[in-house]
Amino acid sequence: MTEIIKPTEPGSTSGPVPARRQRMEQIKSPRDLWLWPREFGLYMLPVVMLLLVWEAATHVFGIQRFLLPRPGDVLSTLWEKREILLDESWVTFQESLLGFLLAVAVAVPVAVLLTFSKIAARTIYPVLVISQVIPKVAVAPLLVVWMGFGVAPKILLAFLVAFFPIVVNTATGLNNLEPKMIHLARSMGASTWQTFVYFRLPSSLPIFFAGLKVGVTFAVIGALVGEFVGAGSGLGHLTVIAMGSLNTELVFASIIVMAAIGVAMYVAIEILERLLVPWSRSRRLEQMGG
Amino acid sequence: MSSPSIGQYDEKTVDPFIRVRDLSKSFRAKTTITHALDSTSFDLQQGEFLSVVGPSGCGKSTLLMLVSGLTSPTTGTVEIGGRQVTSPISDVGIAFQEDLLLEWHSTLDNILMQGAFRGVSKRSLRDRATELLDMVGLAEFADKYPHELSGGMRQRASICRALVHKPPLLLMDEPFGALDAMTRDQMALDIQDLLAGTNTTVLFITHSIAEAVMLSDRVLVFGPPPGNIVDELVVDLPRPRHLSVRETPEFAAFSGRIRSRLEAMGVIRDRTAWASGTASAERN
Ligand SMILES: Nc1ncnc2c1ncn2[C@@H]1O[C@H](COP(=O)(O)OP(=O)(O)OP(=O)(O)O)[C@@H](O)[C@H]1O
Ligand SMILES: [Mg+2]
Repeated sequence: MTEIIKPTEPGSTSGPVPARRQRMEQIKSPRDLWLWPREFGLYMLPVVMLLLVWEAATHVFGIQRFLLPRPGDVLSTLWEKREILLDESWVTFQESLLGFLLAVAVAVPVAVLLTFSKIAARTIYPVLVISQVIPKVAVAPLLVVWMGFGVAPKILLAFLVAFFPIVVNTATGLNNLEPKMIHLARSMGASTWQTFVYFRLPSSLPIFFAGLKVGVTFAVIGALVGEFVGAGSGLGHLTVIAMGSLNTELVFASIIVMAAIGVAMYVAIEILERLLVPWSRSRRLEQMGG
Repeated sequence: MSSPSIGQYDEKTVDPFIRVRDLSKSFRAKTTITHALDSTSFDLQQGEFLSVVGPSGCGKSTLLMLVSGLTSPTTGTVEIGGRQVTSPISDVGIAFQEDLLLEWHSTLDNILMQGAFRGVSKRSLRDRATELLDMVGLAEFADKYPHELSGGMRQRASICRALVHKPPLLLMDEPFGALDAMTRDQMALDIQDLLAGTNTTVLFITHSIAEAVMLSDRVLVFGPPPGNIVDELVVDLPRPRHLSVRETPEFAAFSGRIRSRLEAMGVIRDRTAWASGTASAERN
């Protein structure tokens, strides 16, 4: 009897096991997924296409330069004015980053509070939602009046717009743990604190990072809104001045730099995520068939 | 082998080890009340392997949650080692119905997690964990992450996690549910091996009548929801039991009794049997 059953043992060489092994070897390790050079080409494809269509359109339809400059002109402006653009973007970048970091620093404890205290959740959530639905563009002039033309109101605006997506995603992430996982933790003898650190926190990371990505792009927009309304420096300020003299090439150039700042910060978060939450990314790729 | 047992119940052998009395559990939603478990009483001796079989939704998982203290009963009591269970017990290994592996740990680290909060060092558990992984055919998957395992592999890893710290009490909720028939047979043999010579008390929940008879000292048959015990049988087949035991008349008698009991409760409906009257003949 046992002779017949033997071949189905998981350790044996016959039966379904070798096929399984083969399949496992094809799965890429998270490290193999750093395919930046190849992916970069794909990312840039639509940008290049857009530039070509744009250039062609200005020629074919004879659009006046102060209405829509040609990409070639914009690019040369980008090069000629590189020093001032760099200086101003450094200001904008600092404001966005500080606002973003401030938002993370405040949002994470608030999210923890929201998950742990029902009373806190009831009292804080309405304030959060109201603060989110108030248009920041409308508040921006007030902040400038109150806080002056310096960087403070810009940082505050960046903070205000970045805060909400980060706090909501962090709270959602922290609530992401299945009740059954809490049962498992309890049966292993984990305290409430240990359950939080070893189970709840790691399981929240994928959604937390989703919040960071939205937040960081919002922060740039927040800082720019502040600069548009009133500032002595920054890309927003530069744009307002360029617009005043109908220097549309410079307007477009600074818009491109604004976008570049947002993209750079987004990519930085994305890289951080790949390092800290490798399981999230590899699972996502699997679902997409990657 | 050298890993320490964390038996807080070991010193005193209380008789019975587990005492369940008039245990019931209802879940209250807004407008409805679900009676999951209805006034169940049974004892479990130290070192005994007890199976619970019954239809889906009859409160088997609920019973396990109550015994482990993870939910509190609506009425009734659970006593383990003479002490009433009022909060989650931790001197236990649980293989839940779902594998519940942590995505951010490798297979091996998932298993070693079992020691993390008990003051048992990873190093002292490692040998035992490796041995268990080897036993269930996962030796080369120790460093893989859960998303790289098949459903059956994940479940085997979760069984290893329940066993690695040599708990005095082992609770298993359909632990072979996601396994193919062959691996299932293998796991039944392995569980028997792993427990042989230990004094581990086991509460084993299953849908499989054959598995229950194969593994158990005693089987509780649950009726349709709200569940309670409709039959109890002592399986006194000699141990160790090989898979061939399933072809013996004694084995057939045990599983036949459970099947006819479930048929009589209307849990298994066999239309041809009803038509020819064999089912009713069997019930009498
Ligand atoms: N947390 C809960 N809240 C509400 N109802 C629940 C809860 N847990 C279980 N129930 C209900 O209790 C009943 C018994 O559930 P239980 O999970 O114990 O069944 P089971 O015997 O384990 O079923 P299966 O074999 O399908 O796993 C079911 O009707 C289920 O809907
Ligand atoms: Mg169940």
